Amino acid sequence: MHCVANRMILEANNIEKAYMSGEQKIPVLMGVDFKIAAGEFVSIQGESGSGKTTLLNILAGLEKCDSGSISWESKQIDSLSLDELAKRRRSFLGMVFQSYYLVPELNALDNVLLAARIAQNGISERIKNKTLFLLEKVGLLDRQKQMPNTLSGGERQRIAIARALVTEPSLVLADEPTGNLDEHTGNRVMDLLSSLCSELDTALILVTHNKSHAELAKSKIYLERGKACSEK
Amino acid sequence: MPWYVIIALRHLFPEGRWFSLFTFISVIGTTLGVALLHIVIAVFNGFGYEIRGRIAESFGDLRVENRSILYDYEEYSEKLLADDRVKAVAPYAHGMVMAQRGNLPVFPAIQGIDLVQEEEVVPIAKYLQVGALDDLDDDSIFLSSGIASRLGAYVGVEIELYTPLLLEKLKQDEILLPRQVRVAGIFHTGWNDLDENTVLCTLRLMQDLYGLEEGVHGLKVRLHEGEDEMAAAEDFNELFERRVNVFTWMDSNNAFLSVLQFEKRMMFFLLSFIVLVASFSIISPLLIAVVRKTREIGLFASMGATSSQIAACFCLQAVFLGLVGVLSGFGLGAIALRFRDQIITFFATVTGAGDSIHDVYPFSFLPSHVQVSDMLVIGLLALIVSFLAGIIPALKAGKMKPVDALRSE
Repeated sequence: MHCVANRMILEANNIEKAYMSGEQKIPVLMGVDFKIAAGEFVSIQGESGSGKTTLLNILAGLEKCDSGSISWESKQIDSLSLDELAKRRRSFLGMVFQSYYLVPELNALDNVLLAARIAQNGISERIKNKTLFLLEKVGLLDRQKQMPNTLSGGERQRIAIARALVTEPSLVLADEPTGNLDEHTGNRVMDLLSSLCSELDTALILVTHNKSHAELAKSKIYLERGKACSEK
Repeated sequence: MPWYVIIALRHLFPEGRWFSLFTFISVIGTTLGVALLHIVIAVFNGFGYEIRGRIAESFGDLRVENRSILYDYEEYSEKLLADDRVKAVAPYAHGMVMAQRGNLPVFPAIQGIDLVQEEEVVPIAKYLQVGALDDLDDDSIFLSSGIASRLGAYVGVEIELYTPLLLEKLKQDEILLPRQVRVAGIFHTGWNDLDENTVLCTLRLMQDLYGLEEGVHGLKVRLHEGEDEMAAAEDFNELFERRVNVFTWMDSNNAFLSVLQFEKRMMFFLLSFIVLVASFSIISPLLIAVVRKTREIGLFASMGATSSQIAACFCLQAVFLGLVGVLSGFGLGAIALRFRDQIITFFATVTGAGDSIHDVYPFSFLPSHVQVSDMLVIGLLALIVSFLAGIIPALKAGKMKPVDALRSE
């Protein structure tokens, strides 16, 4: 559980989720409550299989929970269809994945612009400038024409971070963004992600196994046996 | 440009490469299907075009008849020539005769023509294989190549002509002897109906043989190039207040032309199945692409793409593949048509078929005629089939749950 005095941008109440394995029902989340305010940084930790990614997907509206309710910027999203959710997701959140998920056929610049194209169905001059600004921030302005397969893992993840932020979302969800990187590169990427979110006043939810990265967050949540324990 | 169009194009034509192997494999089926359809239909058109050309050339654009004898044909002729569309008019009389050489009889159609006027309408001189136009007089005839062959006749031999007038005279207890005529030439038009069974003579001789006096059976009309025969026929029918029947070469050969058209349509119908089969070369790689790009689909969803946009991305790929297939198919078809004679010669040499085309068809080449309307139909058909082929992969992509897509290995 977590709460701060700032404007809440995401609230999840009593989230429950279970998966079926044959006839057997395996509970993953059992009554998780979660809140995050604008510009806040929250980390989620837990053992493998504790439901961190499931919680992240539910918060992102990519997966439905069995019970409980979720609100984005005070608007309930439970009853929305997948397409309605998709449209709201465009401007509300950005996501960073462990495996980067860059489109291999697009160069670095176009990968960043892709998020804006999906969100706005076109590219304005402001978005172009924003993209170049972010590429400069992640230190890859001079490599904007490079294809993903010519970039290192750290560089790809920095492109993914720029892509998550280009639509100026209220919230970034990062699912183990340093999981595929060595410690040094991981630390650089994590510093970059947290500082950029802080600079742009974007809230950040970080799912990680890395304790030092989790420590960067103002608030920390630990998932254990389907329940959330908060640490301050 | 919408993002799904960009992604669809990038999947097919990755940056830095003209073509991906996936695109090549997907396109090749449609290319071959469209090329084959294009070539076959163009050759069919070519045959039809050549045959129609030869019919129109030897028949005249229009004919004027009244199902009886036209005695005032010069009056009609003047009225026709007064029209700007009309280039020339020639009178004719026609009927059946028995032609006999020795004890060998044949029953050809006979046509009496005014040579000077006829030359303006039908290029008789061009058709003459043996003999000269000037050799035709009231005591001689031109034989079609088929009749000459059956009678074993050649220029200079004498032939007896028996006409229905002989029977009429017999009824009146009069005996009219068969007319002895000389073969002055042998012609070949390339139009089978004429070449197999026709005799040409002067109009004067025909009027004698049939007892027409100064009458004729009709007028052949040649229009200036590019004039619409159907419209002209309609106008002249109104002008002559239906006292005579003005009809086009198409009206007269309607059954034959319908068969040509039917053959073309059947060939189109049968060959369109090739395009249908070719669509499988789009479906299979696209289905594989959907599986290959599963996590990318999850990524698009996580960025706010709707299921219909994701479906459109894959469906568009099928349409783009179809478009490339259509263009390359037409290109390949055009190359094959350009070098068709060399290709035919090559195959004839390899298979030992020799000049079999020349034996069967009255052409010394493989005709081809490309019609834009046919190309539009072929292109549209291939695009529709490609679009339909893209629906299954597109639905599969669109229905994918984002979270399952992201989790896929």
